[in-house]
Amino acid sequence: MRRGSFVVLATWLVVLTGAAGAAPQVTPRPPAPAGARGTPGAAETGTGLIVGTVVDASSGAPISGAVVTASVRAAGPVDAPGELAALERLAALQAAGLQAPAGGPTILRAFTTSDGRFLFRDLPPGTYNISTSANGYLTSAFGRQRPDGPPRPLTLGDGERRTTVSIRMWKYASISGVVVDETGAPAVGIPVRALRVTVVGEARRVSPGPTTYSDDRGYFRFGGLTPGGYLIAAPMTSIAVPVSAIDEYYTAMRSGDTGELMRERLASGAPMPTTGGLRVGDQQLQLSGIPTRTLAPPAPGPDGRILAYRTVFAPAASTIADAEVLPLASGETRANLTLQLQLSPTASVTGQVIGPDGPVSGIGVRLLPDGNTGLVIDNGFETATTVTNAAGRFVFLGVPAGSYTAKVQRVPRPTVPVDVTRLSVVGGVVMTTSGSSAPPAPPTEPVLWASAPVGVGATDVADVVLTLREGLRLSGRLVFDGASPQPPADRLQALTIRLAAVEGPTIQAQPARPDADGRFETAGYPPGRYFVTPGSIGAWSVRSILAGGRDVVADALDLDRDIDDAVITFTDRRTSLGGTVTTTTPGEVDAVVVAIPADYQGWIAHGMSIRRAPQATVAPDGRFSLGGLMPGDYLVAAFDADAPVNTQDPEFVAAMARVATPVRVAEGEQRQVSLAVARLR
Amino acid sequence: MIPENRRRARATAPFGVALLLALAAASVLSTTPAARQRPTGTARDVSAPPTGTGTIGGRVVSDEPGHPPVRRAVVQLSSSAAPAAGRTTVTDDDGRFAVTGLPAGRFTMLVVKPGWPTTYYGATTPWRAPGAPIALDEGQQVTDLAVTLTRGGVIAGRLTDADGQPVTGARVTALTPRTVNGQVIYSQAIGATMLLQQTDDEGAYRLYGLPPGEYILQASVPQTPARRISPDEVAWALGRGGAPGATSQAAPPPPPGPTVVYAPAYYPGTTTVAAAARLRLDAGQALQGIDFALQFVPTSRVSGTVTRSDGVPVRGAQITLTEDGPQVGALVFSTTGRSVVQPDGSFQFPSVLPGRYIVNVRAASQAPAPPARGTRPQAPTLDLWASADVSVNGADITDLTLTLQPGMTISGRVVLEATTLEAPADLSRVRLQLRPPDMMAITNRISLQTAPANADGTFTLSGVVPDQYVLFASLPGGNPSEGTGWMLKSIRQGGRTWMDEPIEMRGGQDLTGVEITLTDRAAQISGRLLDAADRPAPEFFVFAFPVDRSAWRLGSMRLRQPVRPDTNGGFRVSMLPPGEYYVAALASFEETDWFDPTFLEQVAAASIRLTLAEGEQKVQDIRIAR
Repeated sequence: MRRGSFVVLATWLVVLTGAAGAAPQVTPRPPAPAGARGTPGAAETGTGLIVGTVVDASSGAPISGAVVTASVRAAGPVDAPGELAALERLAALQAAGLQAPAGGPTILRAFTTSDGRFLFRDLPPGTYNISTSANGYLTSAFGRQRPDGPPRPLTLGDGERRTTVSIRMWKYASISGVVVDETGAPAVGIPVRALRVTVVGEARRVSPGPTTYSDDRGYFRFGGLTPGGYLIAAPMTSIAVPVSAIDEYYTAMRSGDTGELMRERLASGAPMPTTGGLRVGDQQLQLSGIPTRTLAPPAPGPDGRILAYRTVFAPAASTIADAEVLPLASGETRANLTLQLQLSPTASVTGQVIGPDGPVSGIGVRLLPDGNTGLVIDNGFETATTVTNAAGRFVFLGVPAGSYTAKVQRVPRPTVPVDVTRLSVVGGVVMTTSGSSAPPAPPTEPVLWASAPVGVGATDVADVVLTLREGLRLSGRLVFDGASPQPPADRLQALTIRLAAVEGPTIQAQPARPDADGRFETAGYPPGRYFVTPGSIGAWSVRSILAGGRDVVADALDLDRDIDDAVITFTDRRTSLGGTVTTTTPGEVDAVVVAIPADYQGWIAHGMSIRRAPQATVAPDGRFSLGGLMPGDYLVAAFDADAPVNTQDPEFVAAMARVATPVRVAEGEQRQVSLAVARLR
Repeated sequence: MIPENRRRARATAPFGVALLLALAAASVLSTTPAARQRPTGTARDVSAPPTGTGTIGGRVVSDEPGHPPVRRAVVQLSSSAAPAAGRTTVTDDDGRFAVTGLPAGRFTMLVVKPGWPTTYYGATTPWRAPGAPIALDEGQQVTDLAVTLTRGGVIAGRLTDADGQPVTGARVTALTPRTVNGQVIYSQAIGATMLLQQTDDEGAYRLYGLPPGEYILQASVPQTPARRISPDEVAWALGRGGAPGATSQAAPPPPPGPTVVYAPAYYPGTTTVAAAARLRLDAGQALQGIDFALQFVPTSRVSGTVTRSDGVPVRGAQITLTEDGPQVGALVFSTTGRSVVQPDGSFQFPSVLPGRYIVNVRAASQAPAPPARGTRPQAPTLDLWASADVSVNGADITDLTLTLQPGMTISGRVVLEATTLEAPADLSRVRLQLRPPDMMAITNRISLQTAPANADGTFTLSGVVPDQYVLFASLPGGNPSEGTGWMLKSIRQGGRTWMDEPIEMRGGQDLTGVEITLTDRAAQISGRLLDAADRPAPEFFVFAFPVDRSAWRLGSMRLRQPVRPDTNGGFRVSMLPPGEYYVAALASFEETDWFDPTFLEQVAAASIRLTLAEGEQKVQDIRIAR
């Protein structure tokens, strides 16, 4: 299945590169032996040399068998983090046997020897980004001084030999434990999730991370955690599906026509029709569990009440608000965690979903517990989910007492046209390829949403009405203010404009694309605070976004009604803040420069857009440049590369403000400053 | 360049001694040659599932000593008349269950619980479908069914790299070796709860809930090839004595180390599936310490050019590289696969593991017509092809030249013979499939092509490469498990007639004017299987198979897996083309026996023989003579 969908993706890739008129390229290749040189597209070679060692950051011990990846670009400004992200994408393409897109960097790879050594030879001069991966370690890169620190490019002159390059790697942290049921017996096949806790502004941000399942001993282990704060949870969802909805699915399957039905279900995140569980009235009830097996709550007792498992956050909380954050350092192992599942008496919640044309059938409804503050993605953390029947009615079964919010959100999916399906068998795996060259058609239906608070006590709750409303839209036009020629229509139409929720779950709507005249309209979004995030077009970067009477280029937009007069202004005037960093110690400078708005308290209150907090790695000679800067008043400071820089943490921001230098940068100005490395107090 | 030996030799190995063949002397009790009255109604009758007052219940216990009850197992019933929806429940603390409100019918039952192999009630091998159907009369209360679950087994261990360090994030899975048509294929095991796991930070994996059986352990890891560095290279680079930066590039550089990758590995430590150890796992057994290591293999670059004989530049070609080895039906992380042909005709596969491969190219001779406004663009027709066999052994292959040749087309129209079902006005719901003659004995060369017919019933399959194919057409409708639906009747062209026999496509020869007939008049055999005392014999299988030996191959429409009668002895084999059939009763059979000609030959000797006319609903009771 997964393979099949990947291949479809690959087909698009082929189509897209073809459409862009890709030049011949044979970029991703290992260093070829001498005999293979001279083939078309072979990488440029030279006489440069890089020799280095990969070491464990805490013990200094060499790491053998690590893969060291070097990519080179001949010249030009280097965006090191962007380059690394591109490298990861390339690696994914290569792993799938695909070639990299044209114009990408040349990539070299080597395994480290048993004493942690690597070398790259016959190198042309240029700017190299060097990253490393090794079993049990976080991906790292040259220049990194802490696990999430900035990487640095390595500049190699013609024929230069760099033989003392050292790259540090940090071990993953791990958490392991057991899931037991109410009797203390191992609970098998229960989903367990690790959630990363970070601080953004004054709020905690909880991002669901990897999922695993308890094994036959109830044991689970997360072995590859980035150091940081974690919550561990066994999220339990009672999934009720009307028997009629399952029958409808099987009837569609028999006539070979489930595509539209599934698209409709996916649009609202409705539970998928499966064939087992506990029959309760005209519903079939399951618990979330390992995908290969159906889990069901115990058969109800004589009183007919269903007992269901509550979600448990370690050590024994039912919501994030009461859960304990486990801080994990690099290489730290937390073992013997116990997640005990408890059966709770439950009630049911029934209601109806009403749309503009009356009751809505076949739409997914989710019941989320209040108290999961800061959860970025709430899928998988519902107490109950269901789908409406033909009369638009729904029932949540197995809901323990508590306060909840019932939600409907229907985000239309694009339809992928398939004209010809070709199946091929590769190594015994059946792969499906779409023979269509047409891109997915953007959905035209509006985003619909509804939400209602639901309090559940000891008795059933009835008649919850969820009235669907269309999402709010932001529309307007693009303005290009500058001397450069305005981008052609095809470049305009390639631009994407998204709204990203400042807090709460992300809405996976299709981004807006401007028309040839530069007019755009976003999908509909539920009311809330959003960052408007247009990309850049060539030399044009965003200067201002006027919407609802305010410039929201770097602040959150309060979307409380449709806004149809937004103006996104692009400028071709490059504003930058650069200069030099001086240190008291001789040798190469190893530092990072950070800027924050001078009015940092107001910035914190408006959601701490990272667009107003640029960072740059300082070159070994002390020079730096913060490109793509927005004009305004800033506080700027240089720190050692291993300093705990976190511009999303108000404590750091306040500490930085005490040692930073105020700078005003006007539009189009190339401002230069000289900074000394500051120390956080 | 065209694979000539695609047809596989038939299995000649004698079938296993465990196979029991019940000689089935049959007495014809009643035969109704005329078609019975068909239910009327359209094919897509969406009505509520029937309900009734019947009950199916019983108790689920473990196979462990003392047979303790298994609680909270999910019990699912399904019948051909209605899907499983809602006919499901959960066992209580004493293992008991009951599904109520059932209509009369034949139900199959399966029991699911994490950590245990999924169990089909009444199946010869409990975790392998089909189970024995349960016959339920209107209002009947069946409350004493006993289901014994087999405790799942465990295979656990650690995966290490060439340096003995734990490997993180590798995929470990269990494969089952099976012999199909004389070939060993390695397919993913069935019935397990956790069959595919990623190794954790300690390199550990644990597969559990496995049914007893024979397994091969496979590991593969997602990674990209990299170069190995030799100590000589390091010494040279650091200037022999090792003083950093010391000069010595005057010394001749040692040859660069090879580019390598971790190949998929098999326990106890081989990269060849045929050399893998076969692990015997007993019921409930835990095989721990199944530790093995990944091994480096050199990778090669395979590159070359695709050209057209007429010199026109090649555009939009698709190129694939597939391994031509034993079939391993598991997803492995692979560094080979697909690539793109550049506008200048060049292509490359940057990192190919040692082995034998087939390179296949498909391309369009013409760009598709620009789409009319408001319609979506058409996909180009891939009507050109080229193919080459490649053997890779660690050295680069840089001069592969593939010349595109025109593929053939198969065209014609689809005709429906409708008698009871309503023929759709739009025939684009008819799907045509061009497939290899033997779907199961898949060679890795196969490309299976499907396409819809046009609304008026005409069709064209283009870009067909010379080879043998089976052409097949299907149209959803009716309820095939109830014996109603559309069935391929014949394929005719120029006085020749096929059904599901292979069609030979030769270079440069299109097949036009093909008439494909679909009918709703499928034949059926049903009846009761009885023992010598006229009691139902649901413990046996009923096997109906064609007299025509050319249809004794997997994939033939006339050859069906033996069916299990329900608890009343009732059986049904439906959607059959007309013709002469053997009918036999079997005590048991191995998974691959029913399409093994040697086996069929022996069963034929102990069968009754009957003829089915088109659309005939034959009722034929079978009595087993002792």
